[in-house]
Amino acid sequence: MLEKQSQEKNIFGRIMTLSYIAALAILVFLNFHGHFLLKNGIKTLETDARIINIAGRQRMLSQRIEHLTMHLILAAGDEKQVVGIRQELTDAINLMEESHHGLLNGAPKIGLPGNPSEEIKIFYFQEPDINRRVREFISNARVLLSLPLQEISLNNPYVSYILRTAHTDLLDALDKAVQQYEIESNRRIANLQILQKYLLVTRLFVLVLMALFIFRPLTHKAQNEINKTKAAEESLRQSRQALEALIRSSPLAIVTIDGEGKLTLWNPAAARIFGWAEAEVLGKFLPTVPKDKLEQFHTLRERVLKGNGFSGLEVQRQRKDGLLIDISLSTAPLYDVTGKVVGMMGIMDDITERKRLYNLLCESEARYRTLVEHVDIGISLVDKNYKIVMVNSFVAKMFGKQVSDFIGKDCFREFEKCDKICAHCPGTKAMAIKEPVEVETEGVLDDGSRFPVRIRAFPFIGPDAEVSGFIEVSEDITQRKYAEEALKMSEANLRLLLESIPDCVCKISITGKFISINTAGCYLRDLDKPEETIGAHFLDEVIENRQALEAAFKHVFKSGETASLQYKTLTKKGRQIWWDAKLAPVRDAKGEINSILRVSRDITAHKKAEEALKVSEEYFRSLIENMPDSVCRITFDGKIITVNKAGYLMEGFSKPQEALGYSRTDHAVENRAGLEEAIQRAANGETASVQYKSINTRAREIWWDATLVPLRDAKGNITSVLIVSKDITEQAAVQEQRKNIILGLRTIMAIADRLIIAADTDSLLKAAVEEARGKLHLERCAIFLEHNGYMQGTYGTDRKGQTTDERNHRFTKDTAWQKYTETMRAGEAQWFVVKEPYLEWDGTKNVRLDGEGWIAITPIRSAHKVLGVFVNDTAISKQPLEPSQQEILSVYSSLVGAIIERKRAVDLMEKSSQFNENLLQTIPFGMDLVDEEGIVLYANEKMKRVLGDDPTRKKCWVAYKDDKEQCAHCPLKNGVNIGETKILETSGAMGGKIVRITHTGTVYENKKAVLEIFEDITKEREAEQRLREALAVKSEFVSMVSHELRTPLTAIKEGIAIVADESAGTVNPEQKNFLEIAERNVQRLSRFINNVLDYQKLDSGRMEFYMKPGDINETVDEVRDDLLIQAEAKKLKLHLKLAEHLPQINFDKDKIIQVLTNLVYNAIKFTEAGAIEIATLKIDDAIRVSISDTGIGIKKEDMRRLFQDFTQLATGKERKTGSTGLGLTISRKLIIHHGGQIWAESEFGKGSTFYFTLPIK
Amino acid sequence: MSIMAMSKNILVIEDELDILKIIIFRLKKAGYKIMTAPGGQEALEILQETKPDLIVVDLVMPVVDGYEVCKRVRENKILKDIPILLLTASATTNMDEKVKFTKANDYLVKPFEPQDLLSKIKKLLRQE
Repeated sequence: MLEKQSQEKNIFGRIMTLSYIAALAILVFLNFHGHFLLKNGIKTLETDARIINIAGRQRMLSQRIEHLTMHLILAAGDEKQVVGIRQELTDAINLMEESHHGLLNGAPKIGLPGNPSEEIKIFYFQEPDINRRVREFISNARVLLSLPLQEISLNNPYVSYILRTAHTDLLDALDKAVQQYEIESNRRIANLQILQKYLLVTRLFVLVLMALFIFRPLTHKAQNEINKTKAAEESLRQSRQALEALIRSSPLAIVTIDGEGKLTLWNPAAARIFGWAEAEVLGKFLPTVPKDKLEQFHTLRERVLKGNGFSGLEVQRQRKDGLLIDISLSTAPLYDVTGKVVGMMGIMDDITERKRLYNLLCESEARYRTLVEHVDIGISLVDKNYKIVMVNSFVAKMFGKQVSDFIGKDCFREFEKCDKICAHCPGTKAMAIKEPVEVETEGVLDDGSRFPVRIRAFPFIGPDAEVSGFIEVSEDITQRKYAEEALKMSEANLRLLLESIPDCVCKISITGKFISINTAGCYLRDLDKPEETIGAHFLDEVIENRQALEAAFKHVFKSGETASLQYKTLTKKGRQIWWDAKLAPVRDAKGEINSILRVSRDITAHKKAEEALKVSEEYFRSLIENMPDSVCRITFDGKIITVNKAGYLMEGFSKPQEALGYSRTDHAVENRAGLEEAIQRAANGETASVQYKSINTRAREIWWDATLVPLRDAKGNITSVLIVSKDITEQAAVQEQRKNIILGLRTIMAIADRLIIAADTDSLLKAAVEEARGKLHLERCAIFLEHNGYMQGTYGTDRKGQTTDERNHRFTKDTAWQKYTETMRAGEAQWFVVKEPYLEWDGTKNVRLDGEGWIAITPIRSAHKVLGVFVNDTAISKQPLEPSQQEILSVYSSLVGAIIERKRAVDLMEKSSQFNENLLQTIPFGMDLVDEEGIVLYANEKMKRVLGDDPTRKKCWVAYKDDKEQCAHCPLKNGVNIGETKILETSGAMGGKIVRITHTGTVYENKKAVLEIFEDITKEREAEQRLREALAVKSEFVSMVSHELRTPLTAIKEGIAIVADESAGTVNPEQKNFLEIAERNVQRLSRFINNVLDYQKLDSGRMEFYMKPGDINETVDEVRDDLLIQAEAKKLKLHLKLAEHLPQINFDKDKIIQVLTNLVYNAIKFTEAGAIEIATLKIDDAIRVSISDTGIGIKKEDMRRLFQDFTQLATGKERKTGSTGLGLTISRKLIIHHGGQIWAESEFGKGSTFYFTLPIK
Repeated sequence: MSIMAMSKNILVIEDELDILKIIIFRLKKAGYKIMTAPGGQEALEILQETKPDLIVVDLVMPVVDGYEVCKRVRENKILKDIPILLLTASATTNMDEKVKFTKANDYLVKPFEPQDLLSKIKKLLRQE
């Protein structure tokens, strides 16, 4: 180690030495180099100074020469003076030349070696032409010297040169050069000063380094020695300090005593523990030893002094306050430098507290053990290898073993008889998560029987915070399990019970919300699942007895009693249910009512039955009361006990009370025995019926049809008889009539056949009257039919065999006549008594008949209307017709009416069929009737003519097309419904013609048929085709003409424009005027062509529109400026009145601009003064734009033609304004294409307003 | 006129010689260099040798018409980017579609205004 260090030191030293030397060398070099530079610098400076000096001299000399020259001029003529001056001048010039040469040649050679150019540079003035100037000056001066006297004057060029030009130039140059050299020198001096300082410094460094180099090893050694000593001293000092600090700061009491037993050290801890301060005890005997321990102390001391220390001895010592404390004592002998024992040291620790705690721990452990042993739960401690460390006696008791049997065994074997660690072991988990874990499992006894046990496992965490096992607290829960099981069972049973009872069982909370409901309840209440009602208020669904239910609910809550009541609910399916409910309180564990159990039974059916019974009883009572038959209870001897309304009224009483006790039998006048027998039979329990006649209290004879029924009391004894009797007096009479009627009807049936075959209406009527007289015994009868507003009478032969005629029938036209028309109108039969006398035609003359007579008038009706009346007067018999006769008359009238109608219909049909036939034969269309098979049933003349054949009974396609198959598009294929019309156009049929066939479903001879009408539309189609072609040609023509016009127009227009704008030379004003005329007319022609093209495009539908949603106001704004220019050109005002917030509409902007500008241009055109106004407005579902002017207006007769094609109004105006007459037409077409309207309103002479609308979609 | 215009070469193809003359006059006056072709065939020959900065072409011409010229120019690798201004006398059909079909850049309907011609040319030559 040391060697290495020294080696390192050596290397370091060498490196240091080398660097010293290197630094020294560098410094020496720098020093020398600096010296060199300094020397050079100084030399340069010297040269500079010399040059400056020379320059000064030259300056001076030149001045002298100038001066002498002046003298020379002034001394002209004085030969003597001139010679002197000349001599002086020559000297000056020589001097100047000399110094100049000296400067050039005699300069010392200095400068950097090897760089001669630098050297030269130093000797020249930096001003390049100074040398030249000096030379020139000298040579000029010499010329001046050689000049003859007379030439020396100011006019001489040499003189003037010396005096003016050269002189000033030279002086200037010299001054400048000197100045420059001075500046340069100053700079150099400054540099040299810096260099000097630098040299001084380097020199100093060199000296220092050299000194260091020499003295270095010496100082190093000495320093080492000093350092060592110092370090030793230092460490010594430090350790001493540390020791002292240790002793002073130690929590242990540290004391030393010398050989004599006197204290030499007493640290603060000792002072703290024992209470004596350091000053009190130092140098004295140890005060801590109690008197009874002194002997022991001395023994110990001697032992220690012999060199044997000890440690951890627990002894008692005394405090200053006399208290004994437990001390842990360690001692050691103290040696001096020679190794002799001079004293001892004691280190003491106060262990009183520790001892006390230990005792407490022992006590607590004992208590804990007792607790563990006596507690009623099993506690076992298991280490992490699952070995049982401890169990308490309860565990042993649980397993029926001794505690010692468990210790050291595997817990899983002992507790659960498993071969390995149980899967559910709570200990494993508890140890893993370091948290208590609880499980319920089973303990297994030696005999294999099991018992339920709840185990809580706590991880056992040792002092080192490591899990070292776990504690199991086990509880035998057999009892609890049993109770739980029993509870579960009973709950299940209860649930089963609830679920299986057919009633609705629900639990309702205190707040009235459903908590639960059973299955039957759900079913009964139309619920799909219980959740639908849980949480709902139980009163929500109740629609009847709601308050009672609420009251009962509250009552149950308050009193704890049960309650029962009935209420009605409405289910979600709309069923109304009556419930019979019992409400019972449900109490919680504390016995407080926490909810209500409501058991409700659906008693709707029962309720309904009850209601029905009530209703039926009511109904029954009212039925009896209102029965048209007599219903009464009678005694066995026939006296009335109770009676209904019909009963007492029929007996002639006005009140029921009057009828009581009235004997039915006593008043019987016919078949009384039968009645009595019937009563007897009823009294014996039979039901009997009888017919008898009685006379009531109002002496009316009544035939009764009576039914008798026994009435029993609650015990079943017959106490009275119920007799229901019907008044059949009238019935008996009616039966007679009915017989007559049937007879009459049979006669009518026989008559009908004869009537039907009558040839015409007249003979029919005659026959009808005759038959009525002959066979129906209606001797005096007649038929009157309505004809064109009159009644025409018809008579047959009268009973005297005379034939009568309606024209000579002179029936009274008063009362009876009115009655006929009345009957006609009302359509109902009536009969009345004629009281005044009337005339009757007896064949030859009118016979006056007097007295009363019955007249019956019966309407003769067809299905739809009354045709006339059947009149029967009974003037002779003077008795009204019997009802049966009336009935027969009515039936007969109807029969006659029906036959008349039929007859008329047949007549009409015969007539109309003739008309139809004629019609069909004359119409210019081919027409036929085809049945569903396609067989032609009928064809008209035209058809036959066209085909040249009769198609009847042929297949239609064969007849018309000579085809084997049915025509491809024939509508008959799919059938044509009656009344339906299908139209088919074919070409090629019937000899290559275009035919339109209209098929109409109809009925012909009771069979479905199709009426076909054939129209030859060949010519029409050809004409259409020709028209189309013509239009196409026209369109093409217009397009072509326009196109052909446009190209030359371009050339004309441009040609004029080029001349007019003087691009091709100037034009005089008159020419220009004509060119403008030409230009204007070209414009007009061009507009016309554009309009024609637009019109043509619109007309042929080839104009394309680009509809986009937009704001009409924006469009107006867009063209506003352009329009304004146009208006202002005519000094007209232009107003805009645009409605705000107009909706977006769909329009082609360019087209609307075209319309807008067209209308505004028109307005401008036709207005000479005033204003044009453009206004927009929303009207219903459209936007209206109006353009008003104050112009000439439009005459009424012109208004109609305004928007017509190629219309121009005033011809003169047209010329003036150059309108094409197409503008409005185009505008109209554009607006109509937008789905809008365009119109104008105008008052001639006052102005016009043009409107157009655009629809809002 | 302008220095920029001076440097631009325009090929005008128009079979109507009167119109051609007028266009030449206008464009020369505006300072453009003009090449002319009285028909499509001649235009294609010129285009084989030179590349003008703009082509003004009439759509309807005999033999080789404006459509053909446009097609050939657009198919040519060198010429395809030359802007084309169509001239037409027909306004019966939608010119925008024609422009799309021919892949031209703009159109003028005869009779046209001289300032329209110049402004469209300027626009196509990006001299605005």
